[in-house]
Amino acid sequence: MGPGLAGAAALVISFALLDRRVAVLPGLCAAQATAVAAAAAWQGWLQGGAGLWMAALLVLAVNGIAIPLALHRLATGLPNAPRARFPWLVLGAGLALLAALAVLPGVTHGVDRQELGAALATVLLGALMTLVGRGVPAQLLGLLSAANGLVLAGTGMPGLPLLPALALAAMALPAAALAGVRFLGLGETR
Amino acid sequence: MSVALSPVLGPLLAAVGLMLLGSRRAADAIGIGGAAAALLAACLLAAAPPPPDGWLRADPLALLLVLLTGCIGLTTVVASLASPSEAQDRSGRSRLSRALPHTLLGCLMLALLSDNAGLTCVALEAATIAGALAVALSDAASARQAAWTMLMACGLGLVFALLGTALLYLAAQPALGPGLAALRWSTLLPAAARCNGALLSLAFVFLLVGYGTVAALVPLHGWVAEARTRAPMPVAVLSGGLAIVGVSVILRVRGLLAANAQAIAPGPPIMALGLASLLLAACALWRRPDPRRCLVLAAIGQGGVAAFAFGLGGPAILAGLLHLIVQALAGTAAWQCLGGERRGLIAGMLALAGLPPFGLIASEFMILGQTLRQAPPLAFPLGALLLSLAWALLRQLPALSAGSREAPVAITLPAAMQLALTVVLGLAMPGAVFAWLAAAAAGATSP
Repeated sequence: MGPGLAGAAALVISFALLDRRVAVLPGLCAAQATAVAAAAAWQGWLQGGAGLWMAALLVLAVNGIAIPLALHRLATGLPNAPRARFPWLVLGAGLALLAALAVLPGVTHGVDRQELGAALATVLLGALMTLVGRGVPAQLLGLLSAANGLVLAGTGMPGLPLLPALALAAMALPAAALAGVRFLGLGETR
Repeated sequence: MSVALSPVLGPLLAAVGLMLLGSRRAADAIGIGGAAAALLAACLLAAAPPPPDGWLRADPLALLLVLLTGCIGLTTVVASLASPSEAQDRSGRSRLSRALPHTLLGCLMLALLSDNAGLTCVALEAATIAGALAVALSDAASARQAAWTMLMACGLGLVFALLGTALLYLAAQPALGPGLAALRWSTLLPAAARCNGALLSLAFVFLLVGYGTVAALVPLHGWVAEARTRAPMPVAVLSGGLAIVGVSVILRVRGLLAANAQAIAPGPPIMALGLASLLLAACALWRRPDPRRCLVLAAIGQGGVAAFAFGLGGPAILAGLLHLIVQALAGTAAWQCLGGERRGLIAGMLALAGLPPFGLIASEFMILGQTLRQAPPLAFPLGALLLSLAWALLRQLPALSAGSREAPVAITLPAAMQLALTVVLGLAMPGAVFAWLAAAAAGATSP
């Protein structure tokens, strides 16, 4: 129940990410990463896997603290143009429903369906935010949210080897994009 | 350390050397040396393939594509050193920008040789980051925007691919149990029939969207035109390797689903993406885009034809592999001659249009023949789109060849060799090469 609760929290935050001001997006993303880290740590405690604990620490340190802090600086002072409209929320709800249908009882095998469904929905909502978000912070946070969903999916799969490597791979892209924005001015149109 | 790692190490060590060395002459020598070492290592691997070691494997499909990528890598590095415009660009670039094409090449080699589905994805991720960084290092703001789009689109695609890989692992649990075996391509295919079909289908959806984005299949192609047109020539050519890896992984996943009776049929969605790519290229080329965009559109269209063949299955897979190889060689030759060598560029465009004696005509006829046999209603649209693409490409020739000048032999010779290879592959393919192609097609799709 614990990891499922944390997964549900990550999913709720994904919806909140779709309709918030730019300035609060980094904080929401940090909260989502913390929920994912909690799910990984809970699974680590249940299964006794060192990889899960390591993944939890990585997600908390990078996606939960380092990237949101850097993004907070980037987002400060930007206009609030990227607020999502009602149709995107409806589309987001449709994607979450699709994720729930994808993990019907006949489909999954030996996994927590609730957690896997929440993870799939989080990835899809992150993808939606990246695609419809206007401006660098919103798109980057969408990618980060999708990466959080990926780690959440990994924690719900018993015995998945190299989970810390999966977490690192999921973080590498948002981190590289952030470094590109900071040092090379990626995403600038002028 | 596995021998199969040798084609990966050459370019990556060269990249390290290029980062450390400031001397232009030494950097040129290291660049050529690294790419030549990769090609040589690929040839040696092909001569005596080692057994899979759990992380890397040199099966016929991987070897074929590693050899192709090695060939493209070496000719591109040589041509970029000889190209006057590239030499001018290079003088102003940092050590990092000289090292990035080699990093991209090494990562592509690793993705092709990887036996672990997760490692394939991670290697592609590193290749994407290197490619986007190389695009961004150009001074233009449009290049930085293109690099951002590439990073976001491919990044999202790779998150989908990683999720699909994790779901693939889950699907393989009933057959292979926990552990790395459930992530190895070499063990997954023989066990595919015993995998969870529903989860395999779910994994396929994510893998198709993920690798389809990297392979720039329509409608997942949004990043490719801007990124490749804004990139320096070596990166523009080598980033075409992302499509080769993406399509080859889709072919492997197709084999897994085809072997499982409960999974969805993988062919129709792949064929749909392939036909959509061909349709977009054929339509967009009629608007007479600039030369670089024209080559990118041709690559999208011809890559779509290869994907369509992979979706069709059966003997069409062999034709699709031939098409993938020949269009990559012809496209590379055309890119290398762009802005320099008039005859090479015209020949490359004729080859991409599928005109004889170049090899695309052979693969196109094979694919059309198989479509008539396996899916007759699709044969007419496929044939019409191929003709339309060819005609649209031929319409570009007068504009493309205008203003060109004679180029050094270091550009003309590699381009001529690649075009000659496309002729040989189309008209007089040696029996051993045909057997290799057949083994690659069979190995990727049947246990």
